[in-house]
Amino acid sequence: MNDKKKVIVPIGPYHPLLEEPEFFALYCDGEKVVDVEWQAGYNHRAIEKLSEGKHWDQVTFLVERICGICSTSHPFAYCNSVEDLLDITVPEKARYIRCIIGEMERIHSHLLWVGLAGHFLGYNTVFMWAWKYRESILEMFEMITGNRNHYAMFKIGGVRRNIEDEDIPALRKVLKDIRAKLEMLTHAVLDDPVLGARLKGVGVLTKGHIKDFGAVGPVARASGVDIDIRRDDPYAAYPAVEWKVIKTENGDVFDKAVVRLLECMESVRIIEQSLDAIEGSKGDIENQVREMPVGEGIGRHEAPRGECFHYVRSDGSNSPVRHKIRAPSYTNIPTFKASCVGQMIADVAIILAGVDPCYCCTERVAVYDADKKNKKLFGFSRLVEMSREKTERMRKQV
Amino acid sequence: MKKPKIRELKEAITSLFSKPFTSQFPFKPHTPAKKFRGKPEYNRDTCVGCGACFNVCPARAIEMVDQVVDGKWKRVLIHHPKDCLFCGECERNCITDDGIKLSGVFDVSYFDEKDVQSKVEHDLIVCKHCGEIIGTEKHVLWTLRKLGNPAFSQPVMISRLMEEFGLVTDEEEKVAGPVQRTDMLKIVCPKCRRMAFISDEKKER
Repeated sequence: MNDKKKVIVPIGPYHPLLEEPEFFALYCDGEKVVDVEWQAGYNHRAIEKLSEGKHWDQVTFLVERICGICSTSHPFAYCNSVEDLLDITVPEKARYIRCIIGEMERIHSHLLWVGLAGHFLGYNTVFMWAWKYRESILEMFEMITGNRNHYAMFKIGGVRRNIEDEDIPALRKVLKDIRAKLEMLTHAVLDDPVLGARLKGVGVLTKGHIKDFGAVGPVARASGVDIDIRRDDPYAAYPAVEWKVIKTENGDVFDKAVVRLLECMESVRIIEQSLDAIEGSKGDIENQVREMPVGEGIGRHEAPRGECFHYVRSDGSNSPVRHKIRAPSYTNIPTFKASCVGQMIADVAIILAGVDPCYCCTERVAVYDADKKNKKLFGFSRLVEMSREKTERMRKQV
Repeated sequence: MKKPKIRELKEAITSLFSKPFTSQFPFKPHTPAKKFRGKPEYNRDTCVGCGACFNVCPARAIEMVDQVVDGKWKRVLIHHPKDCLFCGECERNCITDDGIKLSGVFDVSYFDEKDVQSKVEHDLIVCKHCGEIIGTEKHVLWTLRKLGNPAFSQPVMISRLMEEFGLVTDEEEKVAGPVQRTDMLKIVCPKCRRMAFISDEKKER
């Protein structure tokens, strides 16, 4: 194709609508996307370096602040890694509490995604409703842990706060309500002919793509790749509760939505079983750690977006010598290269949103390659607008 | 155009006739949950000024300054809400359990930072020989009460207690000259006490 005919559509790096700084350059031929370029490094905060200057216990608070949405997944993986280094076990009750917090977070993160996806498609009712259901989960977080978002629950060797028996009935009620709402939402999405026409076959990632890019989490599971750290590398109380890994085959945006909604239902199941297990139990919630050995540890956690990986190395002192973090979006974001190419510009907004990218999780390395060409900027808002117009067109056809 | 199903209609109608879900915050006061982690506040009566909160704070939001005010050594602990993570570690690690407490205050916006800072000031006990800081007065007394009888093996604690009961009046500001064995029962730091012990032994030899 002739280079002169290509139009570059830059998205980002800063726009009020985008929740995070990000930059995409779409190379278009007419309405069709022929190439995508992604640039990182706008949100580099030197977390790994900062963690080398903090005590082992203080790092949990630092890594909690890597991500604003899945704020417990990093402490979870970090605690797993330090416990691997220490070679200690966590008390049974603490394991269940960890599961409850992790799964509640998955529900609220997936509901947030469903809401945003609806917003990008012009279904603002979905946005309002999904965020309304999510609110009850956040209120539960405030009741149990004392904060809506940064729970400060995790501690090396256990958890910091107990889930009291008097909090459990309220939590059960919220779960019962949210199960009904999730069922309604799932069926509404599955049955909606407009959503089906709009999302099926859009941004398809095949099994081959997933393996080539090393994508993880719901993105991989939507394409039929059966990976889930909770089952493959059991930790916390996941082996003790009954649940199943959700998997679909098509790999398009519709399947990603289905995987996320059904996963929420599984999360509700896990939480309910965990609550049964901890109700009335008077067990310990933490194991005291007295000294730090020399060595290294690896910890993994299935965050809402996929596998979150932490590596720590200790020289026996009070802070880690090296702390390496790999967030799930780091492997998921490059799949845009496969999913966006050949699609219409109007579909790009939802394909980008489809992997639920989390930029602040990803920005561990700052690599900046400035493009010297002049670009005509028309921003993400215009993309969302185009996406909504397309939905409207399809609604009339169906 | 496809018609919505009954289940969505039901939800839509309930939403239509229910009150707005968002809170009316500026007009109606917000009541946080019981366990809500709000702004930490020092308790002037129960804080002993040990500095544990300063040591454990992951965000270094607590400032500890030892300074001379009007010729007396003072320790000031200041909590800066602008750096605070509201993690509650200061409360968890407080040695007296209620020297610093997380309050339910969620709104910490300010024009002047001093309006929202929580501050506590303590008298320091300093070595009468070398001027080294031993600890805050309250901390020494708190440790004494916590330890019970074993505390009487500690010269600083005995001297401090005797001063409190008026049994001795230690009016000397400073231990003059080289530290003697007799000075060991005065308020001197462990280093000076060790010096006294060693020099005394040398003399005997």
